[in-house]
Amino acid sequence: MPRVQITAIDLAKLWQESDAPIYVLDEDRQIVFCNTACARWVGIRAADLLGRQCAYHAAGDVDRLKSESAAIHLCPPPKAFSGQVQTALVCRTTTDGGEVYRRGQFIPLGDGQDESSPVLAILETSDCQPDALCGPNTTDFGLHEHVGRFRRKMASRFQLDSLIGASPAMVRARAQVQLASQCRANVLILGPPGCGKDHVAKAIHYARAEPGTLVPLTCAVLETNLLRATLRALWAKNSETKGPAGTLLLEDADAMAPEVQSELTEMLRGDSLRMRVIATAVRPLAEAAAQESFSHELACALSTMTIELPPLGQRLEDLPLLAQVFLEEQNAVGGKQVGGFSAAALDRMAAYHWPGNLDELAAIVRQSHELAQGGEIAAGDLPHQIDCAADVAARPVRKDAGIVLEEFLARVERELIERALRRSKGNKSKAAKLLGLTRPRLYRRLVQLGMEEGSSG
Amino acid sequence: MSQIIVCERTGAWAAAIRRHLPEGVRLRQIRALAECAGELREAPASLLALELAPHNIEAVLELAGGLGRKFPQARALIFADRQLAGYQALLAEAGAIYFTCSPRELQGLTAIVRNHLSRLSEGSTSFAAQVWDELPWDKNAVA
Repeated sequence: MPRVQITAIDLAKLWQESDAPIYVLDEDRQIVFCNTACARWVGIRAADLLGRQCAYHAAGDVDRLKSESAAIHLCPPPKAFSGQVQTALVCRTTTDGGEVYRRGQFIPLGDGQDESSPVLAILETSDCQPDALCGPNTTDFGLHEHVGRFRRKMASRFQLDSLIGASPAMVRARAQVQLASQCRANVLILGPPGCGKDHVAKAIHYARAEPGTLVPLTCAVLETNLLRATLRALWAKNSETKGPAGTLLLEDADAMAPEVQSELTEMLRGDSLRMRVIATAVRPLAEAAAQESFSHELACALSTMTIELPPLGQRLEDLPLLAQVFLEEQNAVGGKQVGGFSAAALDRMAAYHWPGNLDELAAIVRQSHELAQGGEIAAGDLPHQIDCAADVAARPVRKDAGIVLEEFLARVERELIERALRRSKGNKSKAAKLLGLTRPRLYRRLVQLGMEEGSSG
Repeated sequence: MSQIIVCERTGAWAAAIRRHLPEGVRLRQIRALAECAGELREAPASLLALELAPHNIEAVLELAGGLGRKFPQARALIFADRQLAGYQALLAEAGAIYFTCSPRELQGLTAIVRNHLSRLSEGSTSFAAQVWDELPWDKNAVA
């Protein structure tokens, strides 16, 4: 019997009728074929999926078309595009926001010589667990799945909506962030330590339709040689690869060593570094340049767009909402559930000057959540420094006002004992040892300072 | 307190790290990622050295990715199995400031620890300074 080769049309028909979801991507990672089973599994018409790009990143923009989002989730591992058969997981989003995973085979249709070849994807007919591919015998230990999952999580964590506040300064900052996320101009984010510069930078990066990789470099901590080597490696990698160029995040750019500044200036000159640069700094780079501690050229290149974040002390109207958000984060961890803050607690917090900004607020809320006994955080649950600030605010400072030394020292002693008890997890013998006291002496001090009731008789 | 918290199963990385620590930096060893939060609550500005192995990738990513939010002064350093070298870029994206796959390649670590500590001492307020701040005295009037 003569062997007959079926036509391309018959082959397409065969794939079309298959129970297994099948799709094909061209060399630009666009979906050029999608069978009925695939469209059914994803929950989107095949016609809407065709032409969509499977870029290797997450969906951050809530306004993104459902079909665009679905295509992103169908992205094969990068190695499939460079000629290697891969097994990996892809996922689809359910109506309630959950994710359903399915294992798939990704078969390159090119010879592997090109940087990007078309890929045939054949998924299994049933769903699987998200960790189905984590194990030593699978491709790159599921690196592909981890990248996808991590970026989806980050995109959801750093949504533009997460920049909370109704104060005029924050409304303005949010509008600028929105604008920055729609272009690829370099951005400089200014603000005091702890005011959320890093969060804003990530919100800008993950909100883009094709964000690519985020490369954060902490200029104040990383050694000069390491920073320079990383920049050179990025530059070399960028010039030889296609696809989304990503974002270079320079944290504390004002602390950058002069050698690194010259290297970066050179790279940014003439657009040889294809990445977008987002820098964060405590003071304007132009100001640093005027004082000759920063390169003028680099300051200009990095400050195309400047977003200034206000310190928390200057937007106290946002404090109740922000505190509630941090509290909900604590509640979400599980265990103790605390509903909110008493009016007195909020008043005390508003009297504080918040030198550590949002980071400090988050820490205070976390501590208070641990201490809270009732359904809400009362003024007494707030840490010591908040109490003191309220007292100081209530009694305006008179120049060189006197103190009652006994009371003042008692307060300091109380703080030290509290710290020792926290460190020893409430164990009085250990706390006494930390303080260089005997246990009975510590107990006496606890009673004298009103931190514990004395035993009667 | 200046310290580096090393979270690993065997103690092999801790031994290598100890040789590269500047003087006066305490090294604290723990065995489980679940202990990290408790340790960081005690010393929120610590460097957190995490062992990355095939069984804990997801958990390490989660921890490193959330560190900036929960403990803004802490920094994650990753010490990975050699076969997980491909995770370097992803861990960097998550916020880790250091990644190595070999105990013989820890040269850059000393400088990172030193820079981290000097940065903290610039920004932090000592307990004595906090006590001083609480005094109802005009600070500017003090010569």
